[in-house]
Amino acid sequence: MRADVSEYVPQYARGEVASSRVWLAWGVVVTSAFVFVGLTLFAPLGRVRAGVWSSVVYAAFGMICHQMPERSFHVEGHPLAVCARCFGVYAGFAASVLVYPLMRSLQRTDVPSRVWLLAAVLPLAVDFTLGFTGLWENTHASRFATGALAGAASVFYVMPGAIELSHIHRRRLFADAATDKQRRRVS
Amino acid sequence: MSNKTKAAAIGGGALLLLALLSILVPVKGFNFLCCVWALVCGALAVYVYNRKSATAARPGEGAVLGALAGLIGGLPFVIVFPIIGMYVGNRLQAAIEEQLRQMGQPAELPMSIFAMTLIVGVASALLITGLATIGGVIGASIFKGNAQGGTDAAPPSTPPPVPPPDFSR
Repeated sequence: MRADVSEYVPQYARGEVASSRVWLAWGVVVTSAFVFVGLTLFAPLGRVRAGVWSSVVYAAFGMICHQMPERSFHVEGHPLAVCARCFGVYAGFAASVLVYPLMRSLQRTDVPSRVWLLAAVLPLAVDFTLGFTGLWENTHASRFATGALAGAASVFYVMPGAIELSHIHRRRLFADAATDKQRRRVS
Repeated sequence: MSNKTKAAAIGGGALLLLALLSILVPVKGFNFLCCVWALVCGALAVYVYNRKSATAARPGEGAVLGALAGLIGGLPFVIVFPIIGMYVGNRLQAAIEEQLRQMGQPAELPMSIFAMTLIVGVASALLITGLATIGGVIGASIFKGNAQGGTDAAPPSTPPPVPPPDFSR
């Protein structure tokens, strides 16, 4: 007996894919991004009230940024824990990941073409190269803006991974190692 | 050693080397690269994995590879920083206390230099791991076509058309 098309029940309804895990993944990424931004701001702000902890933050971020005061934003007379470009990357990432669910479904695990990422990083590369070669003296604004663009664009490549990670069982992620162990045991 | 572990070890090794260079060699151009090297090493782990594996790493697997590379490259700092703290502890303590005095704060540290350097080491390792994880996810997106097996391309959604049977024979 043939059923009417209106009675068709989709086996892969998009709404069913969404789960609390996806929102949890988004929440973790948002929190991490804002912790990064918060720490960079805490370093100068905490200089007066929590000098030791501020020094710890400066030292930790010193591993991943040159922290040149002349290339950094200042808050209350003290430089941020990272340079203007790095701060742009973190701030752009945090802002973009916050509004990510409004721009793209949290159920999607596909990533845009890599061309878009390269296009977003290109202004940063040009700004850096021109500044490094001395052809153009870049400014705080240019460093921040190009960094923010790259950071914002990278969210579209990071979030699908985080979403996928929330769905995959951990056994699947370490399948390679597990299979090797099994093979060794058999042999 | 599995492909994942090998790839993470290569990425982590490169990360550790570059991290040490960033501390030891005050090269102007190198310092300007900021956190890029941590991201690149996370992506490198994925690239190596894709070269060795039949299937390309998915973004979730890229995150794991990046995190493993970050841990391999960042964890030594949890050990190295306190050791440095032990050797230059007195000088470091004096410098920090002088800084605190200048800021008009009590010049006594609330913790030992060893504890402080340990916290800096852990925080640095966490930051590096976080960035390498992001690098791994981005790497999985960028290098998805680099797998040796070339299995990245999706299979055709419909089978090729079958020619109609020849009943004339």
